[in-house]
Amino acid sequence: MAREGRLTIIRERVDSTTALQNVAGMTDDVAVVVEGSVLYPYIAFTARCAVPTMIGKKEITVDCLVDGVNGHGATADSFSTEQMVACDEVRLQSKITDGEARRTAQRTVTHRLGKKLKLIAPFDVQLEAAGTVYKRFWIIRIGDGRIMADSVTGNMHPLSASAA
Amino acid sequence: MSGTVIFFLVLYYVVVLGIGYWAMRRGGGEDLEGYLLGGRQVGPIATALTLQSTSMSGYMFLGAGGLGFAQGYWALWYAAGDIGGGLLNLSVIGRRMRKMSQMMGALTSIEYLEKRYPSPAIRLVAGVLTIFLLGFYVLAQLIAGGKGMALVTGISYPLALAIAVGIILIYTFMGGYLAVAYTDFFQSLVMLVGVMWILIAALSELGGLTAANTALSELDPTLLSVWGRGLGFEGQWGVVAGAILIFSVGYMGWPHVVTRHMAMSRPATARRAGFWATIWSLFFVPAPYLVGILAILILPGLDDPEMAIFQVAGQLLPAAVTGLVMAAIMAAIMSTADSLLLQTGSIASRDIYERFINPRASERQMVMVSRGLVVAVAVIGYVVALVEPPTVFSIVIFATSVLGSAFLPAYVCAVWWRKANTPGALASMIVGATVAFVWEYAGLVNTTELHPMLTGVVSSTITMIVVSLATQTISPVPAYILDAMGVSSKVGPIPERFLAATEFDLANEAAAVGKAIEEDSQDG
Repeated sequence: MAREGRLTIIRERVDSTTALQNVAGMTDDVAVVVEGSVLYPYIAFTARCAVPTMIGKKEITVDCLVDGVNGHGATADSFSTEQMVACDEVRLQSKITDGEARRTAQRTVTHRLGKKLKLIAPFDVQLEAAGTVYKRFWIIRIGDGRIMADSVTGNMHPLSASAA
Repeated sequence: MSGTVIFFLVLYYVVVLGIGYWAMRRGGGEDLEGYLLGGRQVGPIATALTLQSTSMSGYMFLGAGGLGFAQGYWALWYAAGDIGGGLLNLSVIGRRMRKMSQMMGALTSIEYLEKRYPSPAIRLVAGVLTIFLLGFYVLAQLIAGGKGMALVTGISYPLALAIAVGIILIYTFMGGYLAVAYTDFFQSLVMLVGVMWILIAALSELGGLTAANTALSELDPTLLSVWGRGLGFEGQWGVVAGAILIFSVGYMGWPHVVTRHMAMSRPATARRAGFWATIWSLFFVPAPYLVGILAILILPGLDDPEMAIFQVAGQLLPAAVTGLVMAAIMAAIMSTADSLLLQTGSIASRDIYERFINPRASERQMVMVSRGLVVAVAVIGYVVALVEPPTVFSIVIFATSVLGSAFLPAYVCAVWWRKANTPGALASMIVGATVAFVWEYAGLVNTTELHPMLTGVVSSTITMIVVSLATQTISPVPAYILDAMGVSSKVGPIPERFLAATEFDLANEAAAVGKAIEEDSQDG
């Protein structure tokens, strides 16, 4: 865990006020307040895939993020990044190696694309590493509990009781 | 006739490929959404027609015509349910399922079931059942393709079957979806024009419907009755109810069809798509049955009733029109078969093999499983179709009865009944599939006069209700699912705040963040 340094972060689309309003809209008469934010690490890749179709190969570009803490991979919508200096945020450290991340990304893109396109023929995946990027999660207190809100999608998830 | 027919078959594929290529370019570039969703520009008409053409496939050209030829007007019981099937399907679960699947992040119909009824067992049972039953469905398409190819080219049935299976396999291995919605749209229009052309030609040949009915009455008055040839189904309301149910409510239990709801661009698309589906069905659905009935007079010596439509077309239409119609039929059969094979292979590798047998499977292993299953299904299908080919009608009725019985309550209750829980859904799928299978396999239709679809759906529905109510305390429906159901029941788009509140894939991040905050507070 760290608190300072120059970082690449995924550009935010949901600010703390909007996140707070989203949570407030779901609750009745319970006090909600933004407590701060956490920067979460992902290893980013751009995958160029040549998928077979009936009229030849079609190139598809997919972004892939590998969770720097848990090592899980996911394909992602296109995103833009910006540079910032972390000050008071809690920042999680990446725990997986570049090699592990690359293997996970390769597997994730092949799996997700194959499933979505119902492909059973193999296809080429060229990965281009884009380094470690951070995503901000807003930490919002609701009564006695806490919720974290994704600053890009607005998605939320409750935090465990012990964290609250 | 063969040369002309083959020319139009090739021409048809060229046109379909051209449409696919155009649709891919229109779909907007190189990104995944553009490729998969056509840039989200698919409207309600295309949605309706792709839903209908997916539902109907080669059955309508072989099974429906064959049934009309064998039973006369009794066959229209099946059409009666089918005409309203698309509308019922879209109205009952279309909009709600579209919303629920989006809120829960489900991409396939089986994944959707697992997310609505959280349990790996749901995925396992649904996956195995679907593979088994879609395998049967593929068998029907292979037989239809072989029979059609034999007639079109004039070669022997075994060779025609081998060619049809080979073409379907090549078609399948060449790739995944190719702007399916647009090719289906075109294909469904050709199917409609083709079958109406045959019907009009048949009516003209016989001097109109009244004259045809008079001739049928003179031949065998029972052909005009609602109880079938020789009044073979007289008083059997249980069989009639099943015949109506199978293609009306039955669609709601077919995983490969309900997937279309999840792919609609907007929830509101369902309402307008329902309108267009009904219009299309009103014209298309009765036509193959009627052609089959009229074939009794046109082709009195016909050996294989399932070839009625092919033979009537060949006898009455000009060669060029016959070629176009037959090309459309063959294309419908093959495109359905390849979709089913792809889905079967995909479910086998992703939802069964990787999930339950070998979680660390490499991509190469998964591809091998997929391909192996596709080839195995095709080979088994070829052998069965060659050695002892059942009728297309009987296979389709068997597969769709069991599919509908197994999944109908699970899909409908997923969006309509807040107490439907995991044990209820699991028991419902198993009981529904078992009852329908045993009913069909043991020939209980004849002794009980009840259609397997009717008994299957009734038993699976009762099981869903009883087991869900009995297990509410030990397996309550999670609150986030109840919330999602509440939103899906309302008209209009999904509120943004609710979309934001329903992400279930942040669990790993949340665990790490929670731990980090806890450590931070202890340090601080």
